[in-house]
Amino acid sequence: MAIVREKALKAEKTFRVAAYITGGMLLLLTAEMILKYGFGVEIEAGGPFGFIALVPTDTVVAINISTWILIVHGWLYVVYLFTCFQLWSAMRWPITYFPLLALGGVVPFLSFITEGIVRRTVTKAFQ
Amino acid sequence: MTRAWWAMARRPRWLAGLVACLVLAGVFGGLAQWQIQRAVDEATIVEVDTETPIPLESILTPGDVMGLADGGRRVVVTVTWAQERAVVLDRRQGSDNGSWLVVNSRTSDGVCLPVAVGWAPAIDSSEFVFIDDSPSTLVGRLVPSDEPTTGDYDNGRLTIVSSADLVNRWTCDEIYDAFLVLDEAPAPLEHIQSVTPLPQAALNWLNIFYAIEWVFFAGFALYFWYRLVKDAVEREEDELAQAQP
Repeated sequence: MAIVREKALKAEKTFRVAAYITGGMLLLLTAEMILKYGFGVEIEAGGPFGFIALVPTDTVVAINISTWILIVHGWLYVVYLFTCFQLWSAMRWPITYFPLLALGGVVPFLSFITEGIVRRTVTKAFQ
Repeated sequence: MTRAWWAMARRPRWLAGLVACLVLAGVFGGLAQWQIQRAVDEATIVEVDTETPIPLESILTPGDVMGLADGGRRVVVTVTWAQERAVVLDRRQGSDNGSWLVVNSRTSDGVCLPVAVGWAPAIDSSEFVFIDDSPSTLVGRLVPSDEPTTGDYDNGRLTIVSSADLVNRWTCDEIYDAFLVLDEAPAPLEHIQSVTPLPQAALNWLNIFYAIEWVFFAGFALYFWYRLVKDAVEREEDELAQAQP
């Protein structure tokens, strides 16, 4: 039941990639939310206003990039959660760590901070 | 799941853990249901004007299958009557059972279009002669063909309006895969009661996807419990191994 070094390091690498992707998606999502609820516009692709255009909310006729950001973020978050679990399981961390990792994909910028802490903690564990 | 796993899972501590995970899974399941509810509530109703007649050619090409959204639309078309006809049985008009008179017609391009002319309790098709062989403009609802397999052919009765079947009875090079239900029937037939199509609703896919994700999370909560129990078993085995060097 000892921590397997290779397994944990591999899990940390996968987690790092997922954390960056989820973090990036979350920033996109935040930008989209600001556009939608702050300025009342959505992002439309391939519509009558060009390749990428900002149109008033609920008037998108072509591809609604805003909605797709939400859908893609949702599924990437599922992947992120899985990598959290893999790492948490490999590192034999206490149960309270898991919700903290999970939170990283929900609060903007938090994933970048947790990712840094995680990397240092994992490196330290194998020194 | 080994015997040791089951023994561990039965301990009060882990049974409590199971209850906690089940509650969590229940909450996630509830959230999934909430998202599905939202997907239905926020479904965008696609308003299509189905009542203003539009030219038949603009919504259906001969040989093509009718689009779902076009079923029951009122159309206008100019045709010449052909003398071929069929009496379709088992057609209900309100609560009465009766028949439809279906007559062949041809568009200016020579494509056959079956026309459901009217309803009567019983029809002798030889009573009707369409002598007018100049083009007439018809208005009615365009209805997709019935599936040929749904008919009562075994008993030798024609009970459906199917272009795939009618094309064998009539002389047609090409036929629309649909038929026209005429707005006004010639006496003594009654006009066929047809209903206005219901508006189509487009589901909100974002919420559908979120619902699926919540179901994932609910399953994950249970897996989480399984893993925690497994870890506990391994930890205990390790401690035991260390205690007996």
